[in-house]
Amino acid sequence: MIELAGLTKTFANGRGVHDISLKVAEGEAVGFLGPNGAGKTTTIRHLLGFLRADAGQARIFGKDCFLEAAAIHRQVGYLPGEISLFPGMTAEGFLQLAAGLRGLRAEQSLRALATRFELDLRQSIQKMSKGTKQKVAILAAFFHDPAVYILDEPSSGLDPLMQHAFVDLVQEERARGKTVFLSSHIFSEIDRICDCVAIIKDGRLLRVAGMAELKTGRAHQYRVECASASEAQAVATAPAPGMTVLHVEGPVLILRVTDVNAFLRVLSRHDVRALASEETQLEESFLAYYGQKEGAPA
Amino acid sequence: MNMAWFRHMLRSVLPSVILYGFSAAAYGWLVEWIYPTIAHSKQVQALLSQLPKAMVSMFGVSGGMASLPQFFDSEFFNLIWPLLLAVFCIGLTSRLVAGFVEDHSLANVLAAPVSRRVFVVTQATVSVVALLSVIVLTFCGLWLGTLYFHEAWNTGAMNRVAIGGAVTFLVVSGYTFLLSAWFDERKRVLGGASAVTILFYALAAVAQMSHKETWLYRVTLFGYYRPEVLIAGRQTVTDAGMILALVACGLFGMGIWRFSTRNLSL
Repeated sequence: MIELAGLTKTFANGRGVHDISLKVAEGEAVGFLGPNGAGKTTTIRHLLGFLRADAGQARIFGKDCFLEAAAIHRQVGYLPGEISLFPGMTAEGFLQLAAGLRGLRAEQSLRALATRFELDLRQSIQKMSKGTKQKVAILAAFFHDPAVYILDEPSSGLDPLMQHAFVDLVQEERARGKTVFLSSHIFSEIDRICDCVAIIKDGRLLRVAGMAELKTGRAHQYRVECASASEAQAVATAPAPGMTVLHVEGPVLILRVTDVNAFLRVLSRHDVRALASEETQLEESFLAYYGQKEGAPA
Repeated sequence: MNMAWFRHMLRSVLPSVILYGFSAAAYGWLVEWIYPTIAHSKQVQALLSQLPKAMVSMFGVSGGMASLPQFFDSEFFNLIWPLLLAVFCIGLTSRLVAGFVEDHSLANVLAAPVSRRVFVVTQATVSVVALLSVIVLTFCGLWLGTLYFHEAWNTGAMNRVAIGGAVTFLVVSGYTFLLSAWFDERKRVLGGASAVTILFYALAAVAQMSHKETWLYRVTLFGYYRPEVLIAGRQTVTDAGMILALVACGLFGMGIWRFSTRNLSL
């Protein structure tokens, strides 16, 4: 559905994206992760046909994103990272214009989405807060029932309740077989929406991994409750390969473990009351990955 | 051309069109109102005859003030009207492309199934329609003014000035459009287009003042738009007018090509 093949764009300052290759199958949701300036927005601009690649290709539905942008956009919902609506209009006027640009009349779906996001369509764009503008942009991206969503920082600016409503909406669309390409810094959002994550740094794609793989392929985290604080200290100081103590408080320890057998051998020598595995958060995996040198194995 | 976008753009430029069109017409009415007192004043005629020829020529009153079109020439068509049209053309056309790129709102249009070519052709059309509307509004206002003040309306002279102004400022809109399609920042477009226009105007002013420098008319855009010559009927609108119309088409075409192929930071 979405295909980046050796996509390369180098700007005058040397930054850009270099040899990005990625495929997103129909119905799949891919999270695009990376720090500021990593090349996320540049990649998305290629997908929207705003930039012409120096080398390689960006394709959606098998069509060239630069040369056949208008045909592709008929079935694409795009939510830009930087929302800039036309001033001097109401939300309703803006959304009717967006429908008009597509040759559509979509009053019913617009009203349903407006109700869902608690958006007053009569409100003037000039008087809107950032979050309200974000809601208008979300409506503009979703109202025409596209097959592919390209979402750049989609819920930044939304309050937690609306972030939740947004994630629910995307999940519903996913259930209907829609394809999602999502760039976000909100890890829980990617965690809830995406099947896999593509990590980009300095314009290069470091890794594409399934969510489960990304979480479990790395160290496991455990919470150990010992019989006493001295026992917890003894566990913390015990020599064991692949065991890192993250936190000790009284009889409770939080540890990161790569060699589970060695870890269990250490525990067997101490008085342990409880042992619980803590789910590795995507954010931790991401930060751990970024802590490594580029190209190093995850 | 995308009709939904075209209608939206027309609605958004309409206030400017009305403001400039009616302002020009209102100024014209003022000129028509004071014309009888000036035209029949012996003191004014004496004053004019004592002024240096270069200055008389510079202010476009070399043809005298015997008729209303000649008076319009000196009081309106020679300075105020070109100034109004230049500000209108440069201000509007710089916003039509670079303005939307600069504030990133163009992403709303290009994310729809609207190709860059369709968008930029629509913007070029808006630029041309808006300019012609201002000119039509101005001349309709002037014509109504002559009816109100019971003055004679010289259709031939006024048509020549209207067409001369239209093709001249289509070229101004054309190079502003090209710059607007080229640059991301509107202030660069405003600066570039203003500088070119002022240079053209200055060259025409020098040529107007000095009989030795009349060759400058051939290198400046305003060499064609000379109201006193158009009013007197010493120049037809077909020759140079056609060339300027073609130049304007070429400039708009280059702008369309440039915008269709460039990278956009949206």
